[in-house]
Amino acid sequence: MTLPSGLPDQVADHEDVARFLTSSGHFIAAAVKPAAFMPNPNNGETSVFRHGAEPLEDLLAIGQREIAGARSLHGAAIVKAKFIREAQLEIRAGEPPQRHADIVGWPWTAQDPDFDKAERKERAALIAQKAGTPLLF
Amino acid sequence: MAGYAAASALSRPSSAVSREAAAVRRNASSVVENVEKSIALFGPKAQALSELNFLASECRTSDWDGYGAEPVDGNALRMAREIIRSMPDNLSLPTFSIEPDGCVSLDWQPSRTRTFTLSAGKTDRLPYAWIDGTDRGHAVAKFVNGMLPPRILEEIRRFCSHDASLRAA
Repeated sequence: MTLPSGLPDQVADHEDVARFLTSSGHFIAAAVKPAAFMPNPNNGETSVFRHGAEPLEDLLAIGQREIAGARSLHGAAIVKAKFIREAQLEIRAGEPPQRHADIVGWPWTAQDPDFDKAERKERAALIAQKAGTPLLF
Repeated sequence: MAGYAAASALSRPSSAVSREAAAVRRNASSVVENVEKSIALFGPKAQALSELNFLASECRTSDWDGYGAEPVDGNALRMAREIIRSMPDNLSLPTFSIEPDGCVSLDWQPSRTRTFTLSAGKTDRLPYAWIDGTDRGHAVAKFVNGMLPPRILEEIRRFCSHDASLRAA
């Protein structure tokens, strides 16, 4: 099945996904911080955008339009979908907006919220490490 | 330290000759001087706390990240400051990030393959996680009597040292 963006409804392992960086604390010059990939506490998901072979200007335009608004858009952390799955998480297409997807499946139980958060930090750190150097706009 | 960097740039001599430019340069010089005095008196911890304050101001309102994040939590900020003040002077200080739930993350990333990240939140329980090459894990520590547990301090020390790869599993 094809989505309104023209992308397939399944995010393939080889696809790049981008997490836009709007906080100066979410990266240093050489690395992305785990916090950049931590899920939103209200829906338990991390919002990302699928990024293919299109020019970087297109990615920048999506970031400005869909996420940054009046905020500073410092850059993006880009990681292959397969590394998200290697962190025992799933990535699910979620349009609109076009090209949008969510990282889902974060550990979230009622037993020990702090221990769950520690586990989420470990998974976010794994993804951040695979993202490597941030793409700065 | 972004404010410091901007003030430092403004305080440099320039070709601007107006009275306003001179006043801006004088004020910027004063800011730079005060920050540098503070660093000289209190060392890198003052600089780290200044960085934390800057981040907190960036994340003080809801949706500061554009993804619906909660504002930085006051208790988390207090806890993070306490942790920094309590750290031994010979231990590497972390960088900071604010998490979507409003907690403060203290991060040590001495190399591309090593990350130690600890969250200061609303209680004295501190979720943390680490990756060291192929070794990784997560746990929860407790901030008791204004101190990080010795095993956490030792872990951070070992993490930031050159022989971190020799750590026991």
